[in-house]
Amino acid sequence: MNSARFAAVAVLVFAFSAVFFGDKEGNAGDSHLMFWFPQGEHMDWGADASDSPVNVHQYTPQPITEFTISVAKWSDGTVASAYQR
Amino acid sequence: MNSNRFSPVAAFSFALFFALATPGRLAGQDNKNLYPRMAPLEQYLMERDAEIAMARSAAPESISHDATVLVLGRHGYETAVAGKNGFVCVVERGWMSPSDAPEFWNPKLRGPICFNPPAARSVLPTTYKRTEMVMAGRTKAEIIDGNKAAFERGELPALEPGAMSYMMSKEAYLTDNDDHNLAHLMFYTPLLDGAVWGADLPKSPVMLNPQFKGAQPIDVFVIPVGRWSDGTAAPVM
Repeated sequence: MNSARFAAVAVLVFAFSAVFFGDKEGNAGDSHLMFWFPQGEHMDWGADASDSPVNVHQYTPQPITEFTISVAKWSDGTVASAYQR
Repeated sequence: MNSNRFSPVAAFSFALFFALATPGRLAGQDNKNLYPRMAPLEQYLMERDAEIAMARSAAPESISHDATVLVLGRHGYETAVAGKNGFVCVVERGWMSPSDAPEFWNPKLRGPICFNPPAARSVLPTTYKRTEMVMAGRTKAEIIDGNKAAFERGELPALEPGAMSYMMSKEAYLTDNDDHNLAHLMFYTPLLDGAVWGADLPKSPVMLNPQFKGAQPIDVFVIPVGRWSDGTAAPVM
């Protein structure tokens, strides 16, 4: 098994990714998840593209890239306002 | 596993139908024995332009317009459109599901997916490898074993950080059951405890799917989104 290469990837993921669940009281007014990575990774998630559910924010001065993903429900299971038909 | 996942709407993720098809949990028909072996190759093929359009529909046009597009031919996937943004869009077939997925050989399955650049480099090669074995007439067990052996021999790349994909096509057919489809994103990680992401907990939007179980040490976290790639509303689960 490619254990050495695999371990290197695992360390990066464990060390630098995180997930956060939004709630109704969030400032953004949108239920979403957030992921954080070091800016040096230069990852392309298709963020900020038209109709993409992914947005990106670059922190300063911390070298952190923050991705947010819109999801359709609040944490209590009700449909988020942006997704109500 | 979160029982909320087994509502009718929840039953339709290409990446999830393995988990959802556990006996006793299916909302619809029992399709466990309907597809015991590969169907004639023709049933998995599509008209070229239709396949290109379906592949692109996996992600918003703003992403897929400049993506590389692959189509399935008689000898495997081939490049139909050369892209320039690093994304690769392809219509996957049932053999990209877990080894014990009952619809592994379902010729109707169409899983449009756009891989981001890290996933195109480190996850898509598995699609090539499995398809190569399908075209060589291998059985499901041989394909899973061959996938595992190829990774262990270093013939498949290590997973890159930040690998993810879009599966937001309105045209997808991910399972025979119910509405057949679910708009979602997928994130690829080394094998993790799903609790690290809060996966499969009540009302969590994150699901952990062992898509590569037994074949490769990759976990797939699935996050449903409420929109199709064209921006219209998708069913909310």
